[in-house]
Amino acid sequence: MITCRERNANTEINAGEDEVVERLFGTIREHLRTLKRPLAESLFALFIGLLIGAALMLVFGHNPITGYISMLKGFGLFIREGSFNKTEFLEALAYSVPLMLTAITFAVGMRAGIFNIGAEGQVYMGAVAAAWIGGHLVLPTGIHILVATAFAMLVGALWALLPAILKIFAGVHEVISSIMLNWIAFFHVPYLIIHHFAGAYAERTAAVLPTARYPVIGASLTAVIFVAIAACVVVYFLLWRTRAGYELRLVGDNPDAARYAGVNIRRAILISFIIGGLAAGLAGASQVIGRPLLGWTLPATLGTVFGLGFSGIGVAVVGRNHPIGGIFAALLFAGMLNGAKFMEYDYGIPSDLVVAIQGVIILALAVPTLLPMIRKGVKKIGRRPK
Amino acid sequence: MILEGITFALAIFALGLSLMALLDTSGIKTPKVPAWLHGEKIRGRIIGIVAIVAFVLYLMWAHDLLRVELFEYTARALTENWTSLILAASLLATPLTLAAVGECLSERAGLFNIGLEGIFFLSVVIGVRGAENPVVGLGAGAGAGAVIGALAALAVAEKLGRLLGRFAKLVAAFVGGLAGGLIGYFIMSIVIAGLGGGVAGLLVGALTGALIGFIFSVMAVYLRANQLVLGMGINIFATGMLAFLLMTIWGFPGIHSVRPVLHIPKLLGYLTPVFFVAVIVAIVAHIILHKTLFGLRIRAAGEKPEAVDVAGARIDRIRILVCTVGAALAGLGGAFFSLGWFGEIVKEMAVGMGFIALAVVVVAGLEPLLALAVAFVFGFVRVLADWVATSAGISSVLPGAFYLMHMVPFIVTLLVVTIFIGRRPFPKALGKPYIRE
Repeated sequence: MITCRERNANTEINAGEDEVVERLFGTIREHLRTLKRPLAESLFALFIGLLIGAALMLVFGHNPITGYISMLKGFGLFIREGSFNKTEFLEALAYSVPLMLTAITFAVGMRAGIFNIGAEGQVYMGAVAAAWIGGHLVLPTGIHILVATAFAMLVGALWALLPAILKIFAGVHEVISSIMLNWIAFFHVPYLIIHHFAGAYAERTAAVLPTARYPVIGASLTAVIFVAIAACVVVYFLLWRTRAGYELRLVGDNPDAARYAGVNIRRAILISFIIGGLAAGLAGASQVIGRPLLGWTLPATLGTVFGLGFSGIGVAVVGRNHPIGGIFAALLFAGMLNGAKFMEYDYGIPSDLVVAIQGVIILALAVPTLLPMIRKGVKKIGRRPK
Repeated sequence: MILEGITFALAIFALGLSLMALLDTSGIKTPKVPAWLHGEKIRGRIIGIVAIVAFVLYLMWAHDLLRVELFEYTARALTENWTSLILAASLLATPLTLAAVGECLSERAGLFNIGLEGIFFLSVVIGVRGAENPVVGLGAGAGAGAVIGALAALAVAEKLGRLLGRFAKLVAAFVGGLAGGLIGYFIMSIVIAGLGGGVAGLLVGALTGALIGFIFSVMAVYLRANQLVLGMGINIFATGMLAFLLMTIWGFPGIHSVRPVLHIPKLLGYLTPVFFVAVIVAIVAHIILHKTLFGLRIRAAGEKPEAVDVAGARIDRIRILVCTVGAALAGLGGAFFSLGWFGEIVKEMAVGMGFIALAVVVVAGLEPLLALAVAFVFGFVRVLADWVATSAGISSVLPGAFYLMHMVPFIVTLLVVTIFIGRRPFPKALGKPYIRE
């Protein structure tokens, strides 16, 4: 990055029109070069995942090629029919909204050197908070959505506060505390739904009032996707364009260097937890006030929010812990999840196979030396004929 | 009313304290923060405990439990029928103990496997399949035997020194694998014929766990993969595979009941032989860990791997062996869920159990015998929760008690970790790959 900036500074001195173009392309090329390796790793992991998925299909007597062609329908690509289905594409987008947000939770944590897997519980809490404000408070049209969203984010952040306090003051490992809080939320939220916020049905929250619903764009996609993408962009700017973000990343990269540089490590950790909580809370809200599932309610079984936090880990890993990368990874995962139902309709391949494939992708990406290893392997194979 | 008032005051006080402490760390100048709030070790722990207490008070308030009846009912629940509750607790304590003891060993050796839940899920399905279908059981036995045989033969060949060339080693591995496979097949067929399909299913479950643990540890040791990401990957993979296998094997979504012939017999309605196996496993693990040279090496592998390496033992092999055995124990526990306890597979059967087992490990401070005790206590709490849910008086007056009791293991873990983390630290090299210099 420094060399890139220096070169930019040099060219600025006598910048003719050609040089401006040249400079622009230079920057893009630079970005592509830094992107190449993570992109290749993610694609390779995806390939491994699909390969093992294909192997599983073969073992249990399904045709993997037709299976995967069916899965592409989830992205809106009906290859057999040669058409593009807009509804399915919008549905995939709707699936991707919570995933890109829970990915932020994990990604920002990883950037600060924190293994924050508490998104799951924070999603539940955000969802129930949004359901409460949306279903039980009467507010004017524009303000209702805002209040419900903001309150859900706040509750998500509050749920992240306890692991943060325990980490900062008592040195409790965040994996342990966030796992515990996930399961506490898992038993806490159903009680809140059944005994406090239930509406016409005992096992669901009251339906969110029309004033608190995000406008529907198509399929089950609502305008909440713009909020989600904006959140990703904001997090990107926070992390890469502000001082606090720089400090946060420094703490993650090299805590010793950060300490010598006088960075307030506790504050960086706290900020990463708070950003994560806010994002996860928004993800929860997006499933209640931002998606017409079960008539804008949250079921006590947590069926519509269960697993979003854990899937977010996979999305963050594939998106290389980058909020913008997370958007694309979320789209990929969402399309696969959405396409799984077509695999089941068309060929009877259980849709849960897609979840297993995602697990394999995460396993492959856990290996940091993935790419060098492959390169070595390729070289070895190349050498053998000698 | 008074109770609620006191709680509120306490909770707000605690929240204020935590917020002040947070402001203090945020670097914003707040002159009024008391001096003792600048987080030193003890003070930090006090803040943590206060925050947890405030949190628990919030939970009790939210669950409508701040009432006098709570104490009355708790006393009644504990005095009325504790014998059957304790017996029932032994059922849940069994898989928890097995998984927790295995995880204790593997964490002592430096591998932090948070994929216990995934191991439970996979071994539930494959264990039952192994019980129902002898071919699967025999195949698993033969496969495991072949791998163990081949590895053992390789180890022997290496001990023999440089006399043997690469080809001879290959032959040794092949012969060893063949012999091991035959022995495994033979043992499994004896088990199926003599002890019945249920026991064979438990063994297949253990082998499933061992396979997952082996893959996990090889990736963590040789490829230096991030162990936490690996664990989460295993969990997600297994969540998908559980539903996938249920559907593809038995063609029915979400549930499958096992033939009663294959159930492990129960004494007194609750006690199974597997529970005693779990107790013995915990005792043996304690002895190995604290009384043998190998146990010393395990502990050193997690604490100071360089020292073990210098002393001439192989870190990689210790870690892989211990993690594989530990995961096999978890797999045994997983198969127990359906074969020894419920007599069926339900998709959500083991949800959260793997994480309770992790909680047991943390609370026990990586001590196998303590893990046995803690697993029993957590099992008891869970059983009590189910009893509370079904007894008419409590469930109508205090409906929140059921939910809160399910949280008890997790809250206890938070408290124990906060209080004792300094006194019982985790191994220093936990979760870090060992890189030779």
